[in-house]
Order: sequence, then C-alpha cells, then structure tokens
Amino acid sequence: MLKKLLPLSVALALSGCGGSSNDSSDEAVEISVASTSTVNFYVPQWQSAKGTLNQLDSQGNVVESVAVENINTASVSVSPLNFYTFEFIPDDSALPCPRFTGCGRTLRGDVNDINENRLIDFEEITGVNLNYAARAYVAPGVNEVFFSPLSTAITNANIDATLASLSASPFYQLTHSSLSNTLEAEIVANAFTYSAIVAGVSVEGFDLATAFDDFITQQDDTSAWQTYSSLADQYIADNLYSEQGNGLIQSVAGQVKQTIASVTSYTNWQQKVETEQALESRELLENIRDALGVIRLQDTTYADDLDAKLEQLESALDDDTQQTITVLAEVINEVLINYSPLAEVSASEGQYTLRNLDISYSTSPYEWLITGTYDGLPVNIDMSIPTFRISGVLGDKIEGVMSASVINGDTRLDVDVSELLVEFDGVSEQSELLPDAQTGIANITTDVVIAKQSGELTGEISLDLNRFVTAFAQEVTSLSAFDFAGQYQSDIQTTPFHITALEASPLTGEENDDLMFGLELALPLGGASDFSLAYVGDVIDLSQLTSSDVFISVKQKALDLRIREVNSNISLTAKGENGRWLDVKQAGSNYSGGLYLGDTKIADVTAVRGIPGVLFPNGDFESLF
Amino acid sequence: MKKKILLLGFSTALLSPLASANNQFQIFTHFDAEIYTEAQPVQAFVDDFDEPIKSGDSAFTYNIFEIGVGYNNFKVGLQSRYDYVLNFDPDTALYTYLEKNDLPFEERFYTYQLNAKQVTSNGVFVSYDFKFLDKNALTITPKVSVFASTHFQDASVDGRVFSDDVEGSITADYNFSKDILFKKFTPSQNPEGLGYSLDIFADWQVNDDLKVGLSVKDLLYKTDFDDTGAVKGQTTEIPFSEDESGNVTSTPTVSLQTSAFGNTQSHTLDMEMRITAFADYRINRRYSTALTIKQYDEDTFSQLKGRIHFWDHWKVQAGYETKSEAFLVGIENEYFGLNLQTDSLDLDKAYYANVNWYMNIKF
Repeated sequence: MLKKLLPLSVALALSGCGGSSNDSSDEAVEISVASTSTVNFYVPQWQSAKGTLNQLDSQGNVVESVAVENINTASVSVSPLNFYTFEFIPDDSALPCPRFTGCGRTLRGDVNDINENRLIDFEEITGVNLNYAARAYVAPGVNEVFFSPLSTAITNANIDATLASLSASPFYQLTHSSLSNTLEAEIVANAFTYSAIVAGVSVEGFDLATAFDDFITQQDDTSAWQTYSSLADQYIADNLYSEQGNGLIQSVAGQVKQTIASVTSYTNWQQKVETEQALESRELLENIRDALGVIRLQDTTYADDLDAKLEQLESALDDDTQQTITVLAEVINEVLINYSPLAEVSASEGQYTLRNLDISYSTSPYEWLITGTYDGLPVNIDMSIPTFRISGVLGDKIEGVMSASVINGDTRLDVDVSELLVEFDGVSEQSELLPDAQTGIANITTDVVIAKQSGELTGEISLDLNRFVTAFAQEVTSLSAFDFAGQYQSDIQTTPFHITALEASPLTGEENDDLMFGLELALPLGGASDFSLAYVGDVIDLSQLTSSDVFISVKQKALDLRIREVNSNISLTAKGENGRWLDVKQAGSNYSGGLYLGDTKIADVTAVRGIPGVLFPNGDFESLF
Repeated sequence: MKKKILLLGFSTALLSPLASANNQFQIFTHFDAEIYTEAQPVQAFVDDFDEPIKSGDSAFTYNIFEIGVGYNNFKVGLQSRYDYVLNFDPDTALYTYLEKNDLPFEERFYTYQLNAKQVTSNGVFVSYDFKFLDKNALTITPKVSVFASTHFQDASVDGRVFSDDVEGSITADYNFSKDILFKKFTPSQNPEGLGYSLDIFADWQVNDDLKVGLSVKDLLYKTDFDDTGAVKGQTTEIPFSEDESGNVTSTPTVSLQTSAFGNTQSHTLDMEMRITAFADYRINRRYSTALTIKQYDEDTFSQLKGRIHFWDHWKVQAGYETKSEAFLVGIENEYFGLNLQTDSLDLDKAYYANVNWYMNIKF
C-alpha cells in the first residue's frame, strides 16, 4: 500500500534493474547560460493593462522604469540567477466589479452607479485601487510573474510563500512552466485580485496589507482575512457556476482551490531568505534524495507504522464520510430555505415534514429540531439561530449554534454545540433584475467530529452549496465545494490534514459526480518531522497515484513531482526551488532526460550499470537515489 | 579475450630462446600462451559462468610472441604481449555465478572484491648474456623491453553487496582504454601508453648433470597512459539515515568521477613480477628430469617432467603440474621446440592450457 500511495515509490522503481545507456558522450561540454533571461507578466483582466513597469532595488528604489502598452504582453530582460522586485503601476487605476452578482451597495448619486440602482453591479466601476508588486527569482530562460494585490502584500512583508503555495515556487511566479501551470497561476492571481476588489467594496475600511499581516502574525481578529479568503474561494465557484464564467477554470479548478485554501490558511510563514545560486548546484538532487530517503526510511524502519497510518487515513476519507458531510450540508440548506425567514413563502412555527425528515420549527428564538433520515441516513439536528441578517444586497447571514449527528453505518458525523455560520450571497433565485446571476451560493461553516471505526477526524468544515438552474430549467442545489481542515486522531497517529473538494463541472449534471479533491497531509514521518504531501485528483485514485502530480516538502524544501506511467515506461519531472528541475524518462532499461536550471540543461540523466543518475560536464556521476 | 584464449598455449616459460649456442649470429622466434582460471573452466569463465562453481580466487593469461636476432651475447627483437591478470574473492565468484545463472541468493552480504589488469603491448627488447664462472657456467641475462600500448584495463573493486539487492558499499577504481561495463565512458580515441619492463634470467650449470635456473619476469614493469577512460567512486550501503535531530540525511547511492565529456585521466599501469625456478637433472645419456616451480602472484605451480633424449640433441618430454593439474607433452631440440599442456583434452572443461613453441636458426 505504501508503494501505491506514495508515488515517490514509483520514482524509486526507476532505480530498478536496467541496462546502461550506450550513448557515447565523449565530447567536452561547456555549460553556458545566456546572459539575459526574459520575464513576462500577468495582471488580472479587471485592471487596465497599460501602465508603468518598474524594477526596484532591495531598498525599494526604482532602478529601471518602462512604459508598457500592455503589461500582459510586455517582457523585460534581466540577468539570471538573481532576485528582482517588479512593480506595475497602471495608468488607469479604476477597477470594475468582477462578481457576476454584483459587489454590494453604494451611496445615492455615486457616479459609478450607472444604472442608479444603488448597487455596484457587475462591471460597474468600484472605488477600489490596488497595487501590484512581486519579488521573483529569475532563472535562465523565460520566467513569468503574476501580479495580484496578495503578491504585493507578500513582497512588502518580505516573506516566503513557496511552501504555503504547495509548489516549488510561490504562487505568483513560474521559472519554467507548462501551459497548465501558467493557467493555474493566472486563475490564482485572478482569485486573489477578485477578492481584493469585492472585499474592498463590501467591507468597510478593508486593507489587504493589514488583513494579511494580522493573519500571518496570528492576531485574534482575522475576520478581514477570513472574508478575503472566502471571497477568493468564491471566485472559483462564481466562474464554474456561471455561463459567463471563465471556461478555462474547470481544468485547473482543483489545483486553484487547493492553492487558495493553503495560502489562506498557512500558519508557518517565514521571512524570505535569498541565497546566491550557483549554476551547477546539486541542491535539487539533494532534496529529491532526502525525499526518497524519507520514503525508504519508512520502508526499512517504520514500514508497518506508516502503512497502518496511511490505511487509516485512506479509510477515514472514504465515500461514507463524504456522504455524511453532503447530507449535513443539504439538510441545513433545505430546512433554512424552506422553513425560516429566508423562505420564499414565509413559514410559521410548527411541525413540518420534508420527505423523511420531521422538522419542529419555532421562531422566538429561531430553533429547529430535525429528526429522520435524508438520503437514507439517520439525521438528528438541533439548531438555534438568535441572529438573522436578511439582506438582498449583502446576502443573508445566519449565525447560531448547532448540535447535529448524521450516521452512516460505522461512520458518525457529530457537531457538538458548535457555532454555525451560514451565508447566502443574496441571490435566491433567477431574477429578471439580474438575469445573469443564475447562481446562489450558501456557505455553511461549523466544527465537526467524524468518528470512524479506526479514529476521528476533527476540525472546521466549510461547505459551499450552490443553487443553479440546470439545462432542464430546474433549480437545483448541490454541494459545490468543501474545505475541511483539522486533524485525524487515532491510537497510532495525530495527523493534521486539509481537504478541499470541488465540483469541477457543475453544469453538466445534478449529482456531485465530478468532485475534484485536494488533499494536504502534514505527516510527521521518521526522518522528516515536517514531511507534508499535497495532491489533487479524484479521490478514488488515492491509492493508485501512478500518474499524478504531487507536492511534497521535506526539511522545508518544496518539490513538485509529476509522474506518468505508460506501458511500464515512467516519466518523472521533479521541480525544485529556484528554477531547478529534473526530467527523467525511463523506457525499458534506457534512461534519458536532464537536470535543468530554467531552460538550461546543466547535466544529463543517464544510467551507469542500470542505476539512473545525473552525469555532469566534469564527469561526475551521482545516482538519483 | 576469447580470441586470445583460442590461441591457447603453454609451457614452462623457461623454455625460452635463451638457450643460446655458441654461434655468433642467430635468428629466433618464440611464442608462449598460457591461461589459467579458477572457479570456472576457462570457456565458462569468459562466457556464461555456468559450470558448477568451485572455490577459487584467481585467473590469468600471459601471451607473448617475439622475433629477433642474436649476435654473440646480445639479442634484440620485436615483441607482442597480451596479459590479463584477475584476482578475486571466492565470494565474488559465487555472487557472479548466482547472478549469471539466476540462482537464489542467500540473505547476507557477499564480499565483492576483484583486481583486474589487462594490457596489450607491442615493442622492442634487448638482452645481454653476462657469463661468469669457469666455462661460463653461470649466465645472467637482463632483458629490457620498451613498448607502446593502446589497449588496457586496470580495475580495482572492493566492498560488499547484500544479497541481490541494489545495496552495498563498494569502491571502484577503474582506468581503461575500452570497457564493456562502462561503454559510455570509453574515450573517443584510444589512450596512448609507453612502458618498459625488466626481466632477469639466470642459468647455472652446476656440474655435467645438474643445471639450475631462475627467471624473474616483469621485475620492473610500468606503462604510463594518457587520456584513459576512468570510473572512480563508490556506492553507499545505506544512502539515507536520520541525524541527531531526527531528520533524514542522504547521500547518492552511487557517486563516481568518470571520464565522460572528455574528462580523461593519466594512469600508470604496473604488473606483478612472476618468478620461476627450475632444476634440470641429467640422469643418464637417455633420460633426464626437471622440477620447475612457478610463483605467479599468490599461485604456486610445481611441475615435474621426464625426458627421453634421442638422436643428436632431440628430446621428448612429458610431465605433470600441481595446482593446474595439467599434463604436459613436448618435443624439443636446440633449434625447435613445441610443448602443449592442459588439464583436459576437452577444452570446454579445461582450467588450464599452455602452448609454447620456439625456433632458432643459427649461422
């Protein structure tokens, strides 16, 4: 099981028996790096692309400044292997409302309220101004920088966002990229910009730098950051659930959701340390070997222990667990939209029956006792909501206390007198006023305990429910996403986890049939007390990650592993920090590939006596494992 | 090497052209090919290692062809040599046997240790017979050879391997002109080596019936090569471990310095000296006998021969050698000699073979 679950072991299989490569390589090789590298930029589409691109020194002084017609097609040339701070100042600072359902109320007479409905509608100009800066390491070749207000906040705070991004480079930078990496980074930049605009409009006095600083310094009140985070998350659903949405999102939605979830909840922020980069550094090989060493250490020393832990974790996240979560979310949602002040037809106190649920509803204070079964699972909910904010503009907001249980065989979900927060985005149905707003988003947040036979998942769960109109003109509600962060505890482990799940193609059907899972585990292992692993994919593939993209970090070093196995041929790409990446292709007993820094190959991958390794121009050979 | 083996030949190396006559001028030629393997018969040793394994720790072949002229005590000539010397741990032979025949390994460490040298050289030699004692009864002959070489291997591997896992700690020190194990590090042009060797021969006619002799071959031997292929480095048994703070530390399982990308190296090749001593006793006019002891590195061979003399100076001989367990037959006179020696007439089963012939034409 270990070998299946951790695709690193697939990489280990690369070291199996094989022949040596026979290519003759006796020509002296000189590595040379082009004296300049290119940096391309991206600014989300809401911002005017014309402006000034500045390059700043470490004191923040402008050392070079160019006027650009379109920042998204502009590029600059700088010498590689260095860190640079870039800043974009748009000529037109105006930002339109990016949310299809609008950005909230405004004062009478606001010149931006073109249709004078006292709302900042989608695409009406807001009063928000944003700054764009990013500090980036430049590797040989083409580099990309993705500006967002959050890249600015991180750059100004001089902290390292690599590990928080669950990537070999911070979410706002790529040193060597594929199209899907670029798309993902663009969507993440969009999300963090979208939320800055919407929060800027809807939260009085919102300042991202302050909110971020409160968050990373773990202040008591991080509500501004929480709002910003959930709005960034909302950008995905907003686009997935709207015909107007960015159709490209779907292919990277799971990765984007996980990146946003990680960046907005990361707790171990460290000051950025910039080390001088040598061309022929073997740092990446060391990191890969450390990671493999950890896995092999488990195999030899802790094998039984780790196997047992992973088996427990895998079973803790099974279909039964998902079903209890779905049922809880849907029952709360259905009850609230039918028997509460939110109901279209106001319901009075009393006893109701909704399919197999008995609901006892009282209004002063608002209380619900819900018993019965839903989707065949026994449900018992006791919900009390003293505060009710009903607003067509800000969205309905419900704060209360809940106890609940949902039982599914051996799986039992419990909410033990926990705070409950339910937010609707204020769009309850198709509206002639907002014909484009076909979605309504409800978010339910509470603390849960999910007990399995082997252990307990404890944490805060945040559930997104979307109402939308299907192709058959039916309005349906489905669980569109959830975010569950907490820890798994059993007799043999206490493992922090962060699961994200997202319905990636909601418009194609009614069922939750395309849940894209993101799983992040902080799994202290023998040899790596800080080992963490993140993975995005279909949950049923969890035990068969032979072709997958996995992020791991060991000793605070990040690695992006991309593994593909076709007909027993294995292709492994491992991206490390500072633009270094390793490409290994195994076809039968032959190995090929290279160790790269940006676009420059600094060593060959080959095999000596069947052992794959890297052959440097000075003749040094180091096995990969 | 296989081709060389097919040339097989042998004999006591002392049956050399040094048995000079009094003639002032002579032309001579001499060929000696000797091969010996332990652990496996010669054929299996170089092919599949698929005969039943026997304990053993060495294998060698020495092959030399010379043609030259002599005048009085001087000799000069041309020389070609091919030598291959392999020493190994018996456990290494066992490991190779199990591996090549897909047989089960024991769950233990196998010693992996071998030293291999092979070299092909072409050159010239000169020797001079210094005569001493009454009737020149003692002859001492130093022989100096100078040669060029473009084909060699000098390998040393030492360590241990656990079962059939890719796990073990081994150090390797390997220089070569071309190598099947490390094809990719073979230099594009053969390295060029220039070397010399010194042999010393001594013959003492103690009395009319008894002669004793000593031969020390490669008393000095050295070849300097430029631009050789090379692989040096080690494998690590446990490439990862936990440090004091509980974090993993790792090292490459294999790290090597190689001659790839033109990073060729200079290398000096040495060979071990070989010593042979003999006593030749003339029993009567018709019969004689000889006892020869050869010391090649750590292998000692003792050989006893009987001879029948006929006509003028002709003799046929037969003998037996310990260690190689080889029988010898031969015919010789002053101008011509041919000796064959092997432990099995079925060459597929032979562990030892030697072909030796010489011709002297005296004027």
